[in-house]
Amino acid sequence: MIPVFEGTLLIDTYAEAREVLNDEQRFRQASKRESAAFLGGTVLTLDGDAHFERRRLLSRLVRHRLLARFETEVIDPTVTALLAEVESSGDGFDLVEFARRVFLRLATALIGLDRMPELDDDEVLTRYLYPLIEAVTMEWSPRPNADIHADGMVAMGGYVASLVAPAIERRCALVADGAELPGDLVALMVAEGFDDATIHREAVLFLNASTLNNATTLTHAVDETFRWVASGATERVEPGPHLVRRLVHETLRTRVVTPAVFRECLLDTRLASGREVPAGAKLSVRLPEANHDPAVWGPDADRFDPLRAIPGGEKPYGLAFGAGVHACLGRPLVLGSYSEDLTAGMLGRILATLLGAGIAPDPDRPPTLAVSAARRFERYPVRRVVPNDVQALLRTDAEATAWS
Amino acid sequence: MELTIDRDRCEGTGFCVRLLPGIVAVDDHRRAVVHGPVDDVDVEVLREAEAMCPTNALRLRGDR
Repeated sequence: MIPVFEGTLLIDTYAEAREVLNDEQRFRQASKRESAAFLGGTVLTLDGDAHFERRRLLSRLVRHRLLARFETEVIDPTVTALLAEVESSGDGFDLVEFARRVFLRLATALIGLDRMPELDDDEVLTRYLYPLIEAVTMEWSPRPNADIHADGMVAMGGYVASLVAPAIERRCALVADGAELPGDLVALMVAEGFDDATIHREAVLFLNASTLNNATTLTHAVDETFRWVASGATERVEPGPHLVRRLVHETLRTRVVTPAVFRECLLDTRLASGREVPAGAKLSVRLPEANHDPAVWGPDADRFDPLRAIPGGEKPYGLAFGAGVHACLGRPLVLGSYSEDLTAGMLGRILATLLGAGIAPDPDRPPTLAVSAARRFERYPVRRVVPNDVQALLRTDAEATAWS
Repeated sequence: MELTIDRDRCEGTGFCVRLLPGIVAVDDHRRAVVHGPVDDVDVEVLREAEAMCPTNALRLRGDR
């Protein structure tokens, strides 16, 4: 159950959610205030001109020519190498951890964590990432915020000392030498003269944003795909190029990772629905409910159906990435830069590779959910099952074949 | 160099309008429209506008 925060107005229809998120004149950012020590002053929490300028700077990280490089030079080799590594054990593997390792490589490249190859993945995940994930999503955890905050501060200190500070130091040296800077987050911010503390928090945001949500969505995509195929609903599937993309989109719509985002109303206002919202009201915009709104998605809105007809003017993934000026910066990276060319989108690439390789849920080891209001798997055991029905289905899919 | 906007993708965020005043505007339907040629606009700013668009609605074609 998603908790209801006392004193907040629930916004749970698609139309109202979209209206609120798209109107920065009437509604300002109010998410993550309890996590200010970790995310204060980042592109996620800033508003107005400061937000625009930060977003303008950081958008350089998702330029189209860079997206192709991330996919072919970071994601593809990481997935291939990790698959070979985990499969050599012969016992299958945990898809959640696998996905976090893959996206940790993405975060490494995006942020510029040069020393990452010297460290052990498990150490980075366990000592830094997991406490930081809880620290930046503490509103959804049943643990006391003070405990989460304390653990998060220790993790942030270690993350900065081990990875971020050396990256800043190296880029400062490059600037002093007049050398060319790499095209990563730390380099961009050093070149613009940001103070270290701001860079640290932006590096925390990017570490979490790159790993947690993507790993969660990828795991749900595998889970939903196998459930869908097992349900026998694939009779309508015809050989075509877009099945994997549709699987990703429908997973994003039906399994929104973020339970809610928050906004504060700046002036007495009336929504298009007629609902009155007083100035100062805090709004809880419930993205999962909005994405299951039958008024938009039909009476079967709760059903996972990658073949569903998309309502005119809507995105197939609904509000999975939010909307408006605070819409997810990484959306082009997740989905690809365009629908038909340049880049395929990393979630689709990885999903196609895994499913094409015969990776399937382990029938002997059921998955477990994390203790959080945000529905995500704690562990999702998989192993290679060849042949399997999903693999057979994807073999008819030209796009999946091309990617895998 | 040509700047195009896919109206089906545009959500009217307005980043492009702030970066390219006088060139791009938001219409009554909250969709961005290109009003003029981009020949005299700094290529770097055009690329920024393309990268900033959260829905990939804005697209640059050709070279300069």
